[in-house]
Amino acid sequence: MKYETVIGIEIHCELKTKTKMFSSAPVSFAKQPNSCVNVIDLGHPGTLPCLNKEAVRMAIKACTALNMSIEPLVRFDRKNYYYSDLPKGFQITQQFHPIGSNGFLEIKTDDGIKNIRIERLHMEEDTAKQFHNDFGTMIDYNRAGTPLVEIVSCPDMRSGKEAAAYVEKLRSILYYLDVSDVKMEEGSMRCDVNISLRPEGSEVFGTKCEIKNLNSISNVQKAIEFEIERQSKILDEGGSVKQETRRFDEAKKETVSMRSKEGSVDYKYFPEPNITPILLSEEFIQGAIDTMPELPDSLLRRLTEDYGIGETEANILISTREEIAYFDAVMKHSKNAKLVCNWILGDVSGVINKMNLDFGRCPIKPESLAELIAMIEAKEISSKQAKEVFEAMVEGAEPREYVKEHNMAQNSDTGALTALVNEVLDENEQSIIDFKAGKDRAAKFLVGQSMKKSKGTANPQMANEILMQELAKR
Amino acid sequence: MKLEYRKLANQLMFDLSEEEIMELDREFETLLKQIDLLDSIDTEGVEPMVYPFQQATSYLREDEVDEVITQEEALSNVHKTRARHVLVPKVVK
Repeated sequence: MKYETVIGIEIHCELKTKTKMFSSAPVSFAKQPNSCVNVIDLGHPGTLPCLNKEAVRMAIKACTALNMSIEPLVRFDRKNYYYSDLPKGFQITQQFHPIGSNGFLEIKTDDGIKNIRIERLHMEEDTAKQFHNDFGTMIDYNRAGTPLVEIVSCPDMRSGKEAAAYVEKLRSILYYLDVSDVKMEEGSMRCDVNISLRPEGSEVFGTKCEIKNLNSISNVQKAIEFEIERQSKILDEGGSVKQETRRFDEAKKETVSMRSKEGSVDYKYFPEPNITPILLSEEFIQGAIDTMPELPDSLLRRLTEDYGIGETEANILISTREEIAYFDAVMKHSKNAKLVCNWILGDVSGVINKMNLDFGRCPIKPESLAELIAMIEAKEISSKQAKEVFEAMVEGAEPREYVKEHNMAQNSDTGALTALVNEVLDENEQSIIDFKAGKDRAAKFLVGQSMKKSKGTANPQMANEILMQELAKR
Repeated sequence: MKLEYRKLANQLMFDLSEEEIMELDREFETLLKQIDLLDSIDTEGVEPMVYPFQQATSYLREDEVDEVITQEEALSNVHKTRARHVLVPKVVK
């Protein structure tokens, strides 16, 4: 039978604030265990949560970038569950009134642009990190209380490829907003996939499985593709898919059952009594929106449409905030976007990679690169000479000074070049005869001789043109 | 009702003895009667109220590190530790 795959995705994303969602203890990664906590994170009696202003600002930015409506009255709810990863015995979340709702984002598919609807974005707190060993479970509460946003899509994706495109798009938007580190491998962005199959043409959803533990975008796609195979096989054999939570086993490239969803715990949600509703002013919301940077879609349009850069190259240029900022800085002093792009993706990237730097610490100043490109454009130096100048620039040289000091400027003086070409012609009469007899190689030889005589400083294109003129006269 | 107690206890990861179940049953009889009493109040046209204040607040905390306790303090109340982590019995497979 032919099945249609239905996929919805929940993303948990740690916000890049300095302090936790409800306490003034620092947000940390890979610090000494239990050293970045305070009494609120540890759920000590008599402590009260206090909402982080910056976390709200970041959530507003994320909502806006995902085309969501923003709920100005911020309310929290209590999700009750008894487990050691949250010492209070509950998680503070926004079950009933998420800050963001009804958004969407565009992904590129083989059939063109597709909108993936986003149901909700809500703020909540992260749990402690637990390490399960034979002798017991070790808990580090440093992560407990770290601000999170959970972003829930509608079941709009139909393949592993679409799901991967959605996660990648979301990742790049949150990255550009600078609201999260979005490192799936470090867990600052976590992805749960809900997937079910239904006979093609059916409107009713099948029984879904949730896949957890997806620590890369390629694993999202692989896990979904495995799960499509697994569920189709069960349905083809007349069986029914069990509603359960599965995890992706990276080594075996398959999903394995973690726990059944039947008889799952009722979280007994109710409004969080310790945080009274907070009304965000219009100025506060607009203030957050006004500080949003340019987003990847707009950057891509600007590069491809305004600058005529190819989509592949443009996508590389926007892969980091630093790289596109560098490009923009060079473009302040240059008009040749394609040449600037080629130099950045080529030689400059080479240097960055070799020195293990990022574009924020590029040893070549943007204005110097623009200067070098201007000299190439004006044919003051050849492309071969440009490489030499570039090498010197890596060591800190100023391009124009270097060219001057090394007497590199190309000779574009018509009078001087004509004299030089005629000298060469006088010395090589046989080549003139060969040329007249139709041997093109003779002309190349004569250009070569002219370049040699000028010690490489002659503008090759001009030397060629003048040679042809002078040959015609003879 | 008895089955419900056992189910809830199981979800919360503890066992209930027969006596405890009997005790719960007695307590719940009273409780449910009180709830029935509440149910008899006419709430027609009354908006649910969650907080005692009508006015929303506007205070948000600045994102600056302020109160942090030391690792020693954090662990001072802990029954068992290992490698500066809180150590608890393992409840997952």
